[in-house]
Amino acid sequence: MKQKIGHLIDLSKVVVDPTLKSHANDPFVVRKVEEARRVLAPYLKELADKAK
Amino acid sequence: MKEKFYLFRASEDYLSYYFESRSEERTIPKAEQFEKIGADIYNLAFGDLDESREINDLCVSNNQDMNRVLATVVRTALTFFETYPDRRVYFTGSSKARLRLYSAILAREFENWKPVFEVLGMQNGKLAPFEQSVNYEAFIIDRKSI
Repeated sequence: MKQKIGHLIDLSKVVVDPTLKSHANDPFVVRKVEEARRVLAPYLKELADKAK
Repeated sequence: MKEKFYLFRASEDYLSYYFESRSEERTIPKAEQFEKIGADIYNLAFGDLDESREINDLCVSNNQDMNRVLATVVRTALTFFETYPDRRVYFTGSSKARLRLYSAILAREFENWKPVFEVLGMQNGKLAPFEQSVNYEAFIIDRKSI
């Protein structure tokens, strides 16, 4: 794995809430993910080919 | 971004975030979700929480704190990239006005993010390195490697 440039944020200062609800299944989020997959289809294929 | 941001909470996997936009008149709950759309790339969805506590990005809240809200979104994105340094983030806007706003912010902050991030802009369905004078339809952000 390549080393990433810079340290962006101190994660120890981020408040983590184990009860926080995931919105992954919200209709809006599902729709946006479907749209993104459609729009990015050529790019996603390119990424997948590179990963092979 | 140097603007103040709201305190936010993250889920244990750092994929979900919650914060509140506050003014003297009202408090608006906001949420973000990073959701995988392909190999190493995640969609960023963001918006107000509606009555059913689901994200709705078509709300125009006009709480007079747009810069602070966007600074908070940037902060959560940094948190995501710190947690998942090899992932990319895709995002777009729900309207042309919001897309112009996101393009303008990326252009304004260009010198700040350029050393750390690679940004691709989508125009007419094609991706190309971000240029400051172009209005894009969507963006992909990737953290640079040495």
